Amino acid sequence: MSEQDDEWTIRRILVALDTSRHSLAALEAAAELAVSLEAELQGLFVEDVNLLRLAGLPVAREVLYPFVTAARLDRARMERELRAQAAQARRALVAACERRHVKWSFRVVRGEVTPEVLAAALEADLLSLGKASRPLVRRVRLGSTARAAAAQATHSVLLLQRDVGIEPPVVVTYDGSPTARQALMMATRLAQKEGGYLTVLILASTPDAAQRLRAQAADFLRGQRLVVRYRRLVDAGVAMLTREVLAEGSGVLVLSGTILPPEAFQVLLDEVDCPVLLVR
Amino acid sequence: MTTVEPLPARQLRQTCDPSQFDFETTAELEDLGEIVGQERAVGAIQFGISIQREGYNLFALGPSGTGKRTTIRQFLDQKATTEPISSDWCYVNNFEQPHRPRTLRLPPGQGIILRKDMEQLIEELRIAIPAAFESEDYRTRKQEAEEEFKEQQEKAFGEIQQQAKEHDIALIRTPVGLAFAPLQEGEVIDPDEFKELPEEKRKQVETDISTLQEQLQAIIYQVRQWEREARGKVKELDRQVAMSVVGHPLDELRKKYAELLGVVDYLNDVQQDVIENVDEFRKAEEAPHVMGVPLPRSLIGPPAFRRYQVNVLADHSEAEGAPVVYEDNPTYNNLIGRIEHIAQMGALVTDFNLIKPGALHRANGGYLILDARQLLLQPYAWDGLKRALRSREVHIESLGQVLSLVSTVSLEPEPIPLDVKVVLIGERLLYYLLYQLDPDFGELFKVEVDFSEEMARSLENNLLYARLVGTLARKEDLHPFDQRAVARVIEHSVRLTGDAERLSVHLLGIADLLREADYWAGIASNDAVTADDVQRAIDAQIHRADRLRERVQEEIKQGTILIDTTGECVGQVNGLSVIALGNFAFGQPSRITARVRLGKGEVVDIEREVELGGPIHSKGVLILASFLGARYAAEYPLSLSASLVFEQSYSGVEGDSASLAELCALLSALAEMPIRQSLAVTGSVNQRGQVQPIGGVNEKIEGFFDICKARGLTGEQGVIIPVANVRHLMLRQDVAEAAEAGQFHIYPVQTVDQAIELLTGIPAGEWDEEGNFPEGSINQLVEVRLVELAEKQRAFGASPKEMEKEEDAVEEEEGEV
Repeated sequence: MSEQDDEWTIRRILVALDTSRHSLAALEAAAELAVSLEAELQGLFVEDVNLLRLAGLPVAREVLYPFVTAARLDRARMERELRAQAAQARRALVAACERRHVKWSFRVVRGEVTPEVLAAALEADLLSLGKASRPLVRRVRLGSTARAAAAQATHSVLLLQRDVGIEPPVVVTYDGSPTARQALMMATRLAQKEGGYLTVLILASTPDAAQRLRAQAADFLRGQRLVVRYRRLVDAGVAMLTREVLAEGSGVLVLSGTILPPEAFQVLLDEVDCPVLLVR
Repeated sequence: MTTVEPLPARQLRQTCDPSQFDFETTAELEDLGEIVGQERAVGAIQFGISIQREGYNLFALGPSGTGKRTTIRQFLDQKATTEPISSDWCYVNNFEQPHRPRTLRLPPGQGIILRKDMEQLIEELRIAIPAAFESEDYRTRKQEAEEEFKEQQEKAFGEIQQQAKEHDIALIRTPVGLAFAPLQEGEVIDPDEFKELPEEKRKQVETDISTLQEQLQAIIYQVRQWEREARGKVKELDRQVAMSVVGHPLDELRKKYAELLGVVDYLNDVQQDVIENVDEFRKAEEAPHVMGVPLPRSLIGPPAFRRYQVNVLADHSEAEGAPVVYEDNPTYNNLIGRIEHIAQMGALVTDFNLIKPGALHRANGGYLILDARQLLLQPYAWDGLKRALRSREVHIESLGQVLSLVSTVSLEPEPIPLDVKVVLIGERLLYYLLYQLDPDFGELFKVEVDFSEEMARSLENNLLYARLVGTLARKEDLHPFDQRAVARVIEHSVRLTGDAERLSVHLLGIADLLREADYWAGIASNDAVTADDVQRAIDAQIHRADRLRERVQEEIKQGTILIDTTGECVGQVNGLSVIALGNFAFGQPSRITARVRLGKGEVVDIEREVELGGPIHSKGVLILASFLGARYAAEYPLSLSASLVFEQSYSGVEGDSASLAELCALLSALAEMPIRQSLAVTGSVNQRGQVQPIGGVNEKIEGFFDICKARGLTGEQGVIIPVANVRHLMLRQDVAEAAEAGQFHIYPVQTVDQAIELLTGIPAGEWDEEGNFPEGSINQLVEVRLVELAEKQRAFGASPKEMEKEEDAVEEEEGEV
């Protein structure tokens, strides 16, 4: 590892919390990561102004789900419910951090969820969030905040879905770029923590380039006490990448943020179930 | 005067002539196959074990050591090998009512096989079921079902979202549900701005939201319906997969046990249960942890798969016939079986695997031998056995349940039909007591197997006895016994019965003698056991036990206990008693004295007055008093007061064997004629003065002989015995030899007159034609004395009354003062 690599590190991890199981998975993964990176965890709960607005409308009614009972909405009740949710989120954060002795902070902001999360993410090195908030359907599709974060966040983003944690094997893409090196570094950290198995997907269009990149990666990983497998990907398209990740049975996928256009990331994230760490 | 001649020596000891045997040693004799001297018992056993009717259980009664258990066992073992092997009995889970375990009856040996089959089946299923559920096929089909639901759900919500969007309304999630929000430029409209909207627009929005909401509610209902259907589909899929895995191995088992309907039913239930609980097979069985520490197996409780186990209660896989079981500790639980419990987190739990069999289960279809005394000593065991025999079923219930002490019933196992023949072994007393006190006993134990302790002595039986000695010697690995040794054993056996014409079949005592004789033969380095070895064994047995006899004889010799063996004395006679301690009895002479005076015709038994005499002794004394009155004072009042006592007797006296001696002492006292102290007397008398037999005659004679011998035999000494006891004589060799040499005499008497003549040397005298006794005879002297006493009594006749009156008057006077 070069000195430049050493300088790039993650000190603050922002977790966007609601009370969904996806966000709890994001919290657990972020806390684990905070332990291995010795980072600090910042919890963020956004009181959705859209909900408050809705509650202020005379026509506002809600159907209690899944009980199918209809009830009138009012602002005071909505405020109380949001406060209760925030308190619940805080309790989850405190429990996760104190169990691991991780430094933590928590704040509640009021506003539109996605802009608030993206704004807060600017102050952190990594944003960890659930793939969706509380979806109506069982199928997990990328929620709007996750979608925006994947496409727009300037820093690294970790996305998780419910009941899935960070598990071996760790799969990482490598194309020789600086962010790819950072991705490789993160992947190394994760692999060391998760059993020592790492798969490096070399993105190279020619065998020569692949050879060179592989040598670079091997050089980078020298002395890391890891069992490394190299695979070459001729085409860095979403389809190919998805297929490879599924074939590897990836436990966690680490991608350098430069290899795909933002929309492609969203497609990829829709397709794979494992946690995905976008390194930027 | 009739003369009673002493018995010739040959009548004192009926020896066994060794020359009757045509063998050198018992090694030449064949083993004895039959049971000696127990024809009655053997017949009863054969009948009892062959008759197949209710209540024909056996009770073998007789003294211990007569070979009851061995004989019964031998017959039962023989009979059992010819009978079919009993069925195996198992307890298996009752899947519908787990607290009532089911029974399975299987052909012998099949219980264990079924148990192994079930273990193997479960092992297979534990591998095959998870494998089937991890298969690509299953996962795809399950995913299909789930995907279908997800698509339906997505489509329904998508449609309503689309519909809402068309009206500029968004479906959004609130913290506790769903709500429709009117939008303005993609955002939820601000309440202030909403108010600004024209009335019509607001109403429109409200109507739209209301319609949407109704649709949403319908959709949620529908989604829940789909979800149920999806779950049902997955469950049905699980059933199909489980069925595909379970069906095949169970079909094989059903085929294997096709003829056993109970087993097939059980296997069907197992299949159903496995399919219903297939999830238990899918997850790995892990020990639970408390504070990170895995709990020990005993605390976790029954693992899920225990319920498919087979508890083989009665296994006859290695049997060669019907079972013959001897239960030496017949407690309630050991007979009926029990339900054990395991402590689990402080509570006691149980299941059908913890049902343990009792002796009745093991013996079912065969025979159960029990010791009656042991059985009666165990609380509730007798009742439990009777209940089982009456109902012909074994209900396993804890004593707590039976007595209603415990209300938490854990298991109620299905009862097992009982077909067993019970043989109780015990003393005679127990049999008769049970018969008398327990009304059920006669119904349940109809076959009385009475073991005798003796058999008739004959040449044929002597030979059988020799073969018995040979058989026992071979069985016990003893030296063979030579002719003379066998003869000596037979003589000893005769002596044990106390009857010269009978042989003892108390096998325990005989076997002990053989073992001990073998020991002495070994010491003497003899190849075969000789008569001397047998004698040595007998002497050693006696010596080990005769400390007290030696002590008593010493006391007599030293004059501490007063017994005269020479000289004459009025109203004093040597009586004889037997002291039995443990397995050893010996005779002891006792001085009996009688004193007479004027009185009201009473014979006082001093022993009885002080409660040292037993009822039979008192009866003897009353009989002799009656004899006295009837013979001598039929016509006038018996006016004596006599007292009789066993001198120096400090413990109880029982039995009437001294009544002859007591009567002789009394006659001597009345006639004032002295009695020869060189003779001792035993025998009981009846009201007619006839002498009747008594027990322990040999020991009594030997007891007196030993004292005389110690003081030096004078040739005058001897013992008077009842004639009827002559056939019981089997005296020691030395007594017989002394008699042969004329130094000691045994006089058999029939009447008291013969006895008194021998004792006083004076004729007893018989009534002449006029009803008078001859002058100078004992009877005449007695009669004269009694007449004198009666006359004196008459002379005093008036005065006692007058004296009594005077005394009363004095009292009255005193009263007046």
